[in-house]
Amino acid sequence: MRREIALNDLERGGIVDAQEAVFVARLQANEDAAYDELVRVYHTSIFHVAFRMLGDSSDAADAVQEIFLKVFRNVQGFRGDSSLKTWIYRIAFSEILNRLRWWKRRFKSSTVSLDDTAEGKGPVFRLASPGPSPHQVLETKERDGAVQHALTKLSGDHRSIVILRDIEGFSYGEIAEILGISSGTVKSRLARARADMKKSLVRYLPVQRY
Amino acid sequence: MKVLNNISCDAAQELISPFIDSMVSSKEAHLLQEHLSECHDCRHELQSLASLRTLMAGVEPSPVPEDLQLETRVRLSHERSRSLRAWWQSRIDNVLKPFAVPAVMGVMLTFVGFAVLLGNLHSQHAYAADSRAVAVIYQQPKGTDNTLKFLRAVQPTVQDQAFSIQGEINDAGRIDDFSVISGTRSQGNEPWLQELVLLSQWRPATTYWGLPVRSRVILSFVTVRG
Repeated sequence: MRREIALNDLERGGIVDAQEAVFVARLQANEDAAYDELVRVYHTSIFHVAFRMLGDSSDAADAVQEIFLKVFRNVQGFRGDSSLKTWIYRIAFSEILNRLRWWKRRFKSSTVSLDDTAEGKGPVFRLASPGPSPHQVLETKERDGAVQHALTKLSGDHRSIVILRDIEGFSYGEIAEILGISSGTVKSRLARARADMKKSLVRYLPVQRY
Repeated sequence: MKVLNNISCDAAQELISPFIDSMVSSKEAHLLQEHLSECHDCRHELQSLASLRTLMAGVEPSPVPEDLQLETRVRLSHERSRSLRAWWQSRIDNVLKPFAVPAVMGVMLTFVGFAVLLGNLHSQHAYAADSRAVAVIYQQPKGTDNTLKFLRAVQPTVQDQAFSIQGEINDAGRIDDFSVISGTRSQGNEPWLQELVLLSQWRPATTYWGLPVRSRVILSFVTVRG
């Protein structure tokens, strides 16, 4: 199932620029309600990205809080050169990549067990509840765990691009803005990252007719 | 490495990733499609990457901690109030700093000025020990009314020459020592000299702050004929 990225009306369409400008002005005026709305709209999508990048729920939650603090500290400097969403993701990836670099320096190795869920507990089955069968739940958990494991084997730069493109659905241009690189670099890094992912996930890839 | 329709497998595989994202030009797409129609390996690569993209897009979203939104809002709120306090603090500092140095300098100069002018740099002990510190005395010693009457009443046995004495007045206003400056000390004037020393009462000299200090008084007795 394709995940719906948490967006509000600010991200859609033409009137949106004016609405977004008003919303940014409210943030810059330090309005309580604006910050509540900002957190409500973006905390889920930022958490998903942080979790995929960091591979740990509590680290991701901590990163999310730090990201919103940085948004608050820097919002006065937002001039609307990019969309608010892109700008927030740029801050998010800057924070997340810094954390990955810090861990790398500390030689922290992080692996994800195929049995782990996001909370670090084993799989939970609700046999009596309607919905997917235990077998399907197990398959999904295993597949998602394998994807997460494959992601952790990529470098931070490649992982960022794969998550932004293939999980979050950003365009090449948006990815370039978020990561501060050219579209050509996005294209080449994405090709290499996908090749590495394909090697790790070959048993989960049914051949499709294209 | 095969080269088909002017495009190699390496070149074709470089195009496959952007091709599934519709990020190739129409010319590149045409070349790639021609190559794929004849190359099984590259077609398999395309199918694998398409499957990978489907797999990635189908990843279940990780469950968000229930209290994440609330905790983030609380932390943000704390940060904002801290920032507001810091803003006010910096404003107050900016306003007060230009006045701080002149104000401190003014206070210091005033203190030093008063100290120099009024001799307040010396301790009271110094006044008491050094009777030469007359310069800092503000009020000169004075005789009390009774003493003045006493001085008028005494009939010192003074001969023709003037008779002067110098008395040391302590901070209690009593003469505790005296010496004859001019004239002769004799049997005749000794009794009233003793009475003068024992019975006269003075208002001692005082500093600016009204504190009594040791001082000196000179009394001259002259016989007026007529």
